[in-house]
Amino acid sequence: MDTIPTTMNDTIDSRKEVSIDTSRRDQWGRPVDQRTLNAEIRQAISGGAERIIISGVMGQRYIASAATAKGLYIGIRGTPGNDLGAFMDGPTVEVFGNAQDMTGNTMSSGRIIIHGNAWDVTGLAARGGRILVKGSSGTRVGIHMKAFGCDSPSIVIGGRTGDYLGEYMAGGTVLVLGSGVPEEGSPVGTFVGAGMHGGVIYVRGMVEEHQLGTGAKLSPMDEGDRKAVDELLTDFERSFDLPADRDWSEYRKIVPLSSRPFRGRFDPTMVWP
Amino acid sequence: MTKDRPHVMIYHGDEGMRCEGQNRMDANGYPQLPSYGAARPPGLTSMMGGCGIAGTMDVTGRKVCGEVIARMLTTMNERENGLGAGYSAYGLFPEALKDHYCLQFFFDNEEAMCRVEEHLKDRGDIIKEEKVPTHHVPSVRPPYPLVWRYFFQPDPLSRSYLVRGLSPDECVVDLVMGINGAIPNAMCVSSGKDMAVFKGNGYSYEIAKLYDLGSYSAQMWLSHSRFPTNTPGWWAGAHPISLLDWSVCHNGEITSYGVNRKLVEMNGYRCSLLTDTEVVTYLWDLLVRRHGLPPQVAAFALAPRYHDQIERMDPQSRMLAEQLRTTYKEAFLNGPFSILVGRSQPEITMIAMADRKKLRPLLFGQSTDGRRLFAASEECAVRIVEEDAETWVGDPGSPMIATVGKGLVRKGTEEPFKGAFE
Repeated sequence: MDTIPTTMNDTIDSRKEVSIDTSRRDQWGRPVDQRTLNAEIRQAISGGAERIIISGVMGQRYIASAATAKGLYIGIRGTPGNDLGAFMDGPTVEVFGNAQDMTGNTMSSGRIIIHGNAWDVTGLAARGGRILVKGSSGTRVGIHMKAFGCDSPSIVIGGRTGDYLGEYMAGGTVLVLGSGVPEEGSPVGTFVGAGMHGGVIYVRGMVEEHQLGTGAKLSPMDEGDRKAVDELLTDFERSFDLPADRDWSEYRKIVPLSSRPFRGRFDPTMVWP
Repeated sequence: MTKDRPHVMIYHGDEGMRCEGQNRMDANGYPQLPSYGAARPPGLTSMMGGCGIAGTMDVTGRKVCGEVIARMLTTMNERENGLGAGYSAYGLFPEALKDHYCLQFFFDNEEAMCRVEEHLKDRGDIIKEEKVPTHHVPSVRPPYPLVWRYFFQPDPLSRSYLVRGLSPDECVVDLVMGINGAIPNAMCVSSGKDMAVFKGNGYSYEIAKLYDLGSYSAQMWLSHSRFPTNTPGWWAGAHPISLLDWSVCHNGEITSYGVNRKLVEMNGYRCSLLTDTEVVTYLWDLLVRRHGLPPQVAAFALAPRYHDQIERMDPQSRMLAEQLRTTYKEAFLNGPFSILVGRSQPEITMIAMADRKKLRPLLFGQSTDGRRLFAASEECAVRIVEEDAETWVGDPGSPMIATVGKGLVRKGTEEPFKGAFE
């Protein structure tokens, strides 16, 4: 594998800012390999960097994966590849562009802020932390999310999402704001919350009964929900400098039918009602 | 043999087989693959990935240089492991040749080539023939088959076809099936009008260099880099898999292959490429060219909606959906896939879709002036050639369709039968 040296300029800034430029291409026109870039990032982190600015990113996977430095900020210009911030535990990642699939895969804590769209399977299996997406997302947002102890993941999508939103969700919060979705349309697809047994999904806009998957139900918003959504909206507004709508009649809440939606289906000792 | 034909381009497979431990034959006389116990088989150092697909077209009919598609595909280098890559080009031949079928072949030896030529001459006229220019790329492992191209007009009145009353397209299908199934060491890799497939067993950048894609320009390009999981990596098994002007690039697997194969075989196609993708190609030919379904209707037959979703459709769509699910139940492609499909007749068309659960990645893009369209596994493939493109993702099972002339016909987020009843 050809490796291209990326340039790395340690500044003597007190905040220890490191810039990594990945805009070079190899003899075949290919971007810098993800292993090279991720080695540079890990080297910067172990060198005590507090801010890492990466420019010219073009599809490199696993950026900031398994990074654990609390207080670390990673800014990305370009298009980061799949599994951005996978297993991340602590840092803040901000992307000025679109992210690809599986952003925040199984992350434990930290923040991922996308000033664009984050495509399919955003925030799958997240255990904690927050993902904020200014634009839209694709299918399978927030599937398999879990909350444990005081860790509870949350995802805010500014635009719309596709099918299977919050499928098999076990904990945490997803908020879809439906910006840009026509009034007669729905900001979410079908099979919403299929098989979910924990957590909550809030949607601003229309959600019809047939869009829900097995095991999910619509439920009225109460004061606690409004408080939780308000906190997420405030974070969204601050992150993107955008006003958010607080007309609570526009919001729908989707929760699991029970904590064990498939009870009886796989248990031979149960009598099927 | 005739004319200025290069003599030594054939690598004799026998020598390759003589490396250690591989010269044992099984009871049927086939070479035995090595077997391993607790020791890890050597050579499997590649990271696991999935295939990469990328396509682009200019809807105004301007030509796009082959370097563009090569950059799109090679950018997704995590998605390939060097066991196959390929490109199909549409709208690349000059006016004088674009109405002839362009048959491109891989030949392993001259005997195979002679047999194919005899086969062709019995069934039509060879208008022109030429070697497809290839460069030696040292990193591509041998064997290197000869790549040869015939511009061909089938003769429906020839002895083989007269009594069967075949149309020229059907003559070519019959010809390709016959050659691929029956003539050893010869494989027809593309057979359409105004299109050609450039593929081989190597990394995407190697195959681009091998065919010198930069020297071609075409109105539409589809491409595929392979990460074979179930079937061997070999030259003819690389994607795009093509028949007539159809070519299909496929990421994923067709778990319903057995059922689909029975349907296409009952309709006269012969599966000879050891890969599930070829049934997808034959299904598009069967459903759209032969049965006349509009592309979005054929896409529904391949990736139908669920029955409870069909129940909520308007009456006209519901009836069509139920008829499709009944009539074409053997065409239903089960399993995860995203595919790029191209055709040149009657107009150059790109169809890009994922399975009905969207278990494989697919993203669409359009340049800000609306002229260039993209479909790819990953966004970086679009961004590297069009920094400001607008990108979006489609709904599961819903095709993006674009043609030269009409532009973007479907974005992949519409109702399934939009435009089908007009």
